[in-house]
Amino acid sequence: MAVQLFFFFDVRKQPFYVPLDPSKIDFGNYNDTSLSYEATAIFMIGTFQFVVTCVAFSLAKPFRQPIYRNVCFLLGIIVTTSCDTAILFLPISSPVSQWFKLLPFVNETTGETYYSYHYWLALGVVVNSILTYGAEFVIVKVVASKHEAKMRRLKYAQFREQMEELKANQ
Amino acid sequence: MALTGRAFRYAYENRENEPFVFQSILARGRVFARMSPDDKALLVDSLQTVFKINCGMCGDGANDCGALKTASVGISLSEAEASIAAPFTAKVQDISCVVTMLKEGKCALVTAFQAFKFIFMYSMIEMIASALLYPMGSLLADGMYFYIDMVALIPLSIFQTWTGAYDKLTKDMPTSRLYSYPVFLSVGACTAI
Repeated sequence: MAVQLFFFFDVRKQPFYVPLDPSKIDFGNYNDTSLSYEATAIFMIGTFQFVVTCVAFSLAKPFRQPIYRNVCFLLGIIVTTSCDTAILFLPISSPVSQWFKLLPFVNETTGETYYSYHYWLALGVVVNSILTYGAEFVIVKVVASKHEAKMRRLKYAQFREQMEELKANQ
Repeated sequence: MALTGRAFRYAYENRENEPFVFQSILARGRVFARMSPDDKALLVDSLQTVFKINCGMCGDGANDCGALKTASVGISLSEAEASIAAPFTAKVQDISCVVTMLKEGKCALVTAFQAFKFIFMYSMIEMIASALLYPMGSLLADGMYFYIDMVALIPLSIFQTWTGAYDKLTKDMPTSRLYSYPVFLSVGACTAI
């Protein structure tokens, strides 16, 4: 959410940004007036988030084989990441981007193209990936395993207590 | 501790008067010899109710049926008709199947949680995107939704569950409950990011 929110507001500060015309907004109905720069930026970020969360959730070393042993999954990740990268870096004039109805990062008054914004979005993707993977790594390796060990210790202590009590009553 | 079926039956019948002896037998007992089919089922049942644990049972032959049925994890070691009572049937006639069983069980649990978490995150990502865009009157284009569902979601959600179990059995335990705070924490953290 944080990364999407960041780019939602960041894209508004860019020189090529054109806000939606409020008089043409038709809430809930999809048409060409619903296309916005916010949608373009969030879509480019969001497609990567699917792959990143999927890879992050796949780490479970002591219980499952690593990802590279699962060939289909690996191929799926590679294909999806390649498609995402293509969407992110292809110039907006390309047919692919036209089909997705992405808006060009071009200032309409000066005609200047801001291709560097693609790199800025890519940096956002990298930061997002590191954060997601790092958080999941810490939670699974540290928090979850500690939690499980604690639960087992509690159960064992309970058992010991039960036995001591019985012994004392004898 | 090793004892015969008659001794176990005696301790079981006097468990109200001598709970310490009975529970010690359950906790320390290693060999239970000459057990009748009923005694076997009683032993498994006592272990499960007294210590509130899941108990596994391996057995061949018809006289193990009761215990196999009572146990949380019953593994039958024979292909005989009596083995229908057990949830699992091993083709190899030794207890190496227990290790396979534990490995596969842990892997299955972790995979199920992973699939749940991924589907949850998929809808969260799409929902947050739509929730941000909708108030300003914008929507994701049809092509974008098509791409997200077809290219991003389907292959990943199917193939991520095809990962096999780890080669070695480790002492670590996976998160055993879905409504536990590590699961919520992980999903919450990913949603926040």
